[in-house]
Amino acid sequence: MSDEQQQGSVRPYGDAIAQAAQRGDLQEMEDHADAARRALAGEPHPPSAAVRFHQVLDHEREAVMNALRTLETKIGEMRKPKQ
Amino acid sequence: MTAARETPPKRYLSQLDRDTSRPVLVVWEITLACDLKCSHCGSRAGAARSNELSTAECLDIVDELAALGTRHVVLIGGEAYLRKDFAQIIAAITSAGMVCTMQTGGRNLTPERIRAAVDAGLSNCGVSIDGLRDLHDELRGVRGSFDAAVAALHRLREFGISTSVNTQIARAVLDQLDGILDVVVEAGATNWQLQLTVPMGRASDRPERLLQPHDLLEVMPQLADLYRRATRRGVLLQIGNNIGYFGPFEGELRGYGLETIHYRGCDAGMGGIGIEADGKIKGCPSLPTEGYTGGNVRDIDLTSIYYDTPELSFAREKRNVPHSFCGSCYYASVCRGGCTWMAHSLFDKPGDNPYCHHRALELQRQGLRESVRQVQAAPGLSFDHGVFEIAVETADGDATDVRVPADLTPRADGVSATALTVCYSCFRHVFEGTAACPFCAADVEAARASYAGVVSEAREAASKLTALLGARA
Repeated sequence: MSDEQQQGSVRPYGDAIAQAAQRGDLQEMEDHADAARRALAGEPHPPSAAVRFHQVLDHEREAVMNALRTLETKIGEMRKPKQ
Repeated sequence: MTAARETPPKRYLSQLDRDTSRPVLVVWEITLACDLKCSHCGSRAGAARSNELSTAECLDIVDELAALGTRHVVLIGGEAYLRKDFAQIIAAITSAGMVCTMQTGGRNLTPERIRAAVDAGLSNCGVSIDGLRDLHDELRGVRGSFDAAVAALHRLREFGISTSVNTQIARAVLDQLDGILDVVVEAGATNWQLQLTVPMGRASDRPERLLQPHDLLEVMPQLADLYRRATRRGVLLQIGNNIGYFGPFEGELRGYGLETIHYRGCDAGMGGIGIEADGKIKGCPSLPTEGYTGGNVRDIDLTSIYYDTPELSFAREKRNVPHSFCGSCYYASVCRGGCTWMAHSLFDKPGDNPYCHHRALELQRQGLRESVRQVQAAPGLSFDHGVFEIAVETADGDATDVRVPADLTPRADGVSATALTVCYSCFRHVFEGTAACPFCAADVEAARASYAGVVSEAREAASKLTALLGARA
């Protein structure tokens, strides 16, 4: 059992909020997927973005799309039990 | 399955804090005077109490809190800034090494008052927003109060104070939560705390505004979706202790993505203190004055009240939940009947809280649901309540002859009595040692391994994206 489990519910506050908000596998993966989608579309990242990628170059596009497709499939599998 | 470490906030309860029941967080009503007329106000704030603590008495309390090991004091009212010495109290708290924050409706939070609070060391201010303009103004009883609250949020940020927003969930606000999120984001607030409206004080005078327990079946998925969208916009949504408990979103909403985190029962008097403006001491600021006041600091020292009176120590003791659904609940040994504030405000006793997601889901599985209806009005005093009764209905709302519903969730022999883990097939909490999940029948260990495999594959794909796109300057 981890320390956090022993200590129970964490109440993020102040500086801890940003870190707490990025916790969790699903959130982390969604942050990566969102950043990749923005990179593919050439859209700017919002100020609150936890992950930032650079715009995709033409020769990278196929590899990025394949990786993103895999990631989105896995996110769907992670999210499914909660829906 | 992530276990990121972070710098604990001041109000974080360490194991030592829990073991010693140290009052880390104190919520202090420094006056009952208020410039709003909120129709859900549990303390029926408006006029100051007739015998509120003097400045000298408040400063004595600050010293006692510091000696007790308190690390964070939240000033509330009424409206805390209506006390002329509110900045002096803030300064005393921060000078003693404690964090001081404030909750406000913000109606008259002028630049001068903010400047005084900043100079005194205030570190955060929470502003209540209970709906968009028309609904907020109606609930708060003053036209223009919404605009004043939003202006206060912006003004606080201009002075360098971090801000948060509090929202009560009454029936009418459900459709406006998305709009409130926009307000929170635009105001630059970093967190947003939601709690259910509890039938205490003026809220008990308008029971038709309350959610029904079975509404949680829709509300909890709504909150989970809202949590995810808020997080992506840089706002941490936090659910209050009266929003219960142990459904598939428990780890996400209460653990902020860390699935193993879960509700641990009412912590009144276990890590905090509530102080009323005339010196009465309770284990939680929201609890009724009658029955939960351990004493008054004018009569006895704070340490003795906190550690030695049954009105504050009740939640530290193991207590048997009375004959009720909660008494039969799969999670009874951990949850112990949920939020005492909600339970007592409904039924005039602790230990049975129908505003629980697990309970609503279990009853739904049985083809049932619960509604509450008021059978006795509140007398009209600060922190008072009426009495409600539960009606057990069919899922369609028809009457049944069920008087006391029971939790039929099976609990396997030989499992832990109190330690919970997560079934990664359905994201419900189960007791450690459970082989087959009582909620989805999955093999708990196999589900954990399968989920870990999915996470690993997702991480691999994310790493590939980072390698492709993250290295270039």
